[in-house]
Amino acid sequence: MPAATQPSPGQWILTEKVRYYDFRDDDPLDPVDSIVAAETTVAYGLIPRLSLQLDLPLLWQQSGTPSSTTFGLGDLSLALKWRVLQEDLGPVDTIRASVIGGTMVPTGTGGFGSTSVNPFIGIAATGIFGRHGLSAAASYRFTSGATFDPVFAGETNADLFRFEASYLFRLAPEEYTETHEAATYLVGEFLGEWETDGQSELFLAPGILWEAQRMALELSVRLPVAQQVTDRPKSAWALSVGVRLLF
Amino acid sequence: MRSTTLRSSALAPRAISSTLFYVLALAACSATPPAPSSNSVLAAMPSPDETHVVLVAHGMACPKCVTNADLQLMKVEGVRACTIDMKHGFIIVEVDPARRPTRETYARAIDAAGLTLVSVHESTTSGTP
Repeated sequence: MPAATQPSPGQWILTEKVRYYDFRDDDPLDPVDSIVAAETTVAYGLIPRLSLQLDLPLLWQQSGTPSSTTFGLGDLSLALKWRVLQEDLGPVDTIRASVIGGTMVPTGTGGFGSTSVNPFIGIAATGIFGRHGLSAAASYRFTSGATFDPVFAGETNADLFRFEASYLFRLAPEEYTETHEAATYLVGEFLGEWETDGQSELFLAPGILWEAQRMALELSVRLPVAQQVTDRPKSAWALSVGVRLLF
Repeated sequence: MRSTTLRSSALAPRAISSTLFYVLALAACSATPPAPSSNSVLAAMPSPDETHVVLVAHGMACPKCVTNADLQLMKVEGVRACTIDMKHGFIIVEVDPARRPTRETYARAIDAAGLTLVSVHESTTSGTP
């Protein structure tokens, strides 16, 4: 989920996330069975407190009877993140907040992605207090063009409001020592998506995160809690594996 | 030993900042472990000398923040190496005695790393500008 963290000037962060989505699609003619999305994110620190971020997904969709696979690029997301709050309360403790603004660019191929430029705005806040971390993020995407065959929230011709909240508990180390080391966290995430055409979905995503100085690994499972979806398939569950590298 | 206390400048917008600060602080106050006291931090601080300066920084929330600090300080002319103690918030900077960075230079590097520089501790004989 978006957190109020960002690379320092001149620094790159490359994130690669692979997600498997399983669907419960009631469409008898062309049911979507599953999607594998490989999402590449590049973040670069421009100046202190300001960073640039690009996200580009590659998608493989399994659907239909008999089953067929579609492959293509999704829409490119281009965003600027500006840290507006930084209160460092102790050696480790901190509270930060960032505003995010950007746009989706219609780079989709193979039936994925929309045909329009869809701008978005958002805010993210993160607090770390000893072994405990809290994050919350909200965003609003203005949609001016739908995806041909919508699968995910925000792909119909409606605006999308997303709210995400997460809690992190540092399993290890219990306390940092004089020599800095890697940290392992338990993560619990809540995701809510509301579209202006009345569709909505709520998810919970427990997971684990391991973070070292220049690398992080994460694993999570996303489960639906509530779904009010009519124009696209319902997500049954999703598995996400990610790696983050710092340069 | 000579020390200088520094604080980063206030960030805008303050109204949003204050609200977020109090919401997050209230949400987590019961879960916050006791922070090291000033005395215990000072007792643990390594002594600065001719080639070593000790910076005290706050906000090193994760191992990635440590890398941020290391990368920014290593860009500073005169800095040879950095050792970071996350527990106490110490950054021990090994410097070239002939090209010692100024306190303002340390402050800029720590700010660029996304941390708050609290103080700079150096040997009284080091002659830092």
